[in-house]
Amino acid sequence: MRLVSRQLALFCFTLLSTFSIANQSVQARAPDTFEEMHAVPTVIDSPQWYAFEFKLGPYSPGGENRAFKDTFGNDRGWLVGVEFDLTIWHIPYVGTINAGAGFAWANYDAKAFVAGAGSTRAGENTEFTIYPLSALAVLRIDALARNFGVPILFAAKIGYDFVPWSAETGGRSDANGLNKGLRYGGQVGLELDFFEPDAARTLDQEYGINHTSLFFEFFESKTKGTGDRSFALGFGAVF
Amino acid sequence: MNRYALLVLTLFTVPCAAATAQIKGDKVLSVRIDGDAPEGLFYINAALCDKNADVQVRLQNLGSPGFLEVWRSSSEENCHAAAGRTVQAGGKDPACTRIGEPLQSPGSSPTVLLKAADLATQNKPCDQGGTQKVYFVPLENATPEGAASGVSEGLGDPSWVTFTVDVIPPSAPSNLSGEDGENRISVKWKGTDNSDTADGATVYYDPSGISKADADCTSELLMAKKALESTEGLEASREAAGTTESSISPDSLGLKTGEQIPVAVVSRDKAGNRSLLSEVICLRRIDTDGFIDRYDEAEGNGLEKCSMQAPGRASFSGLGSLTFLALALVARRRRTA
Repeated sequence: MRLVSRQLALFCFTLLSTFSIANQSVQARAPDTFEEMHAVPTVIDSPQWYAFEFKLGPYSPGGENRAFKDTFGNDRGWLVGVEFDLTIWHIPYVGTINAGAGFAWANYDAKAFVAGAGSTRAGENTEFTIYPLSALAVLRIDALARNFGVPILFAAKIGYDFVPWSAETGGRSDANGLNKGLRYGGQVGLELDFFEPDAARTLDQEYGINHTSLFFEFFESKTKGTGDRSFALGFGAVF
Repeated sequence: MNRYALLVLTLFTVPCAAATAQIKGDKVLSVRIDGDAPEGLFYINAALCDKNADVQVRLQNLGSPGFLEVWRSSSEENCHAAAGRTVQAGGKDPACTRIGEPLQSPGSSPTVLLKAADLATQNKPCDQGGTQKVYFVPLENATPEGAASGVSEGLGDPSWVTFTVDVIPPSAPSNLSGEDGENRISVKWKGTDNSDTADGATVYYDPSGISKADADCTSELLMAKKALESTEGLEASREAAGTTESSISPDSLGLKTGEQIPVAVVSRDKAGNRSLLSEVICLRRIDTDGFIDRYDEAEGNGLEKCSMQAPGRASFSGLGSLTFLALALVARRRRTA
């Protein structure tokens, strides 16, 4: 009986050892098929936690503001801005939710009016400058690019605008102030990785920049006196 | 009479700004014209010619020559070789002319004093322009009249300095026009066509000519200073070459609303010559409405004004706090992930 138990134990041990060794061999063996030898290596991206945008577009503060149009005519700025986003949550197969902060600048100038002479212009300039600051919640959707190879990106943004502004005439400050209001917008972008995948890979490996894109953004700022509905074109990067 | 009435034997080589581009050879240390050390070209302009200004050339490393001769030529080739340096008694000056008499025992580091008239022309002082090269030739023996001068053995080739003579003033600015304003008044003009020699313009304001807006624009001071010998009593604003507009704050001129001030413009060239004054016009200080004035009239209180000098300070701190909070939350999540 003891002998049978010993033999059974030895058999079981041998069987288990054989299986474990076999399994280890399967995990460690060199590729021996054509597919394994020429398979595309698995690409591992660097961590992605931030986004940066640089954008430019026309902007006319106050919308249909009569005084603005009378003074500056068709001057649309341009509004130059940057935005920095911090990723709060990666949504699998969808994209990311971010907290964003934006800063922009636009300046408008024209000849001042002669006081009491209607639309007669004087020789000195009058200027109006705005510095919009935005606090945003941003949903970035890159599902098409990540899962289906379609290099189209989307973003939805909502937040609050703080717009410091200043006005001067002939180099002397007339007034300054701060306007506040809701801001929202949407964005569609073209990811640039597909043009040069190798360059994009190098950019990620060397500098941690995961993806770059060109985008069109439509937005509206509801700040009274400095708000407008407009668009911007820009360049973005996630890293 | 020996023109070198004043000769300073310099023992210390004080570093002076020397326009090395206009100096050839290692014997010339520095050049001062009317007490100033020019940067760039050595100009002799009309004002320097008119007062026959001093031109001092400090030399060095002459060794121990018996004599020092100074020669002048409009061409580099005329005086460089010894054969070109011929002293002639009377008659027409040759292409290479000796300035004054040779200086005996000049020492190793003398300062040579010349006059602007020595450099302006070969025949008549200050009536021509062009380039004059002045050579400094150390010799063992003075050159007698009728013979070519020689170079003392071991002292090398003569060094020389190039002077650019420009006694022609630029043309006066024309087509003056003014722009009235409350905080800035401006004047525009058409400048000289010669962009190669132009150095800019100077705008002159006459505070003594301030008058009410409906008075005629006159300035006894500007009219009297047509040739601008002196700028006393005038406020000046220098503009760089290529600029054809200048603006100034009326407060700096003491101009009140409703008053006007005479203004004229003078062109300058690189040699320092100044043109005659342009025509005199008047600039007025008037009340103006800027964008904010029109906005207040039309819209009321749409723009929220701040009472503080720096707008949005509270908003900046609020945004900063939100940003800091968000970063802290994210950092905490990443640590626990």
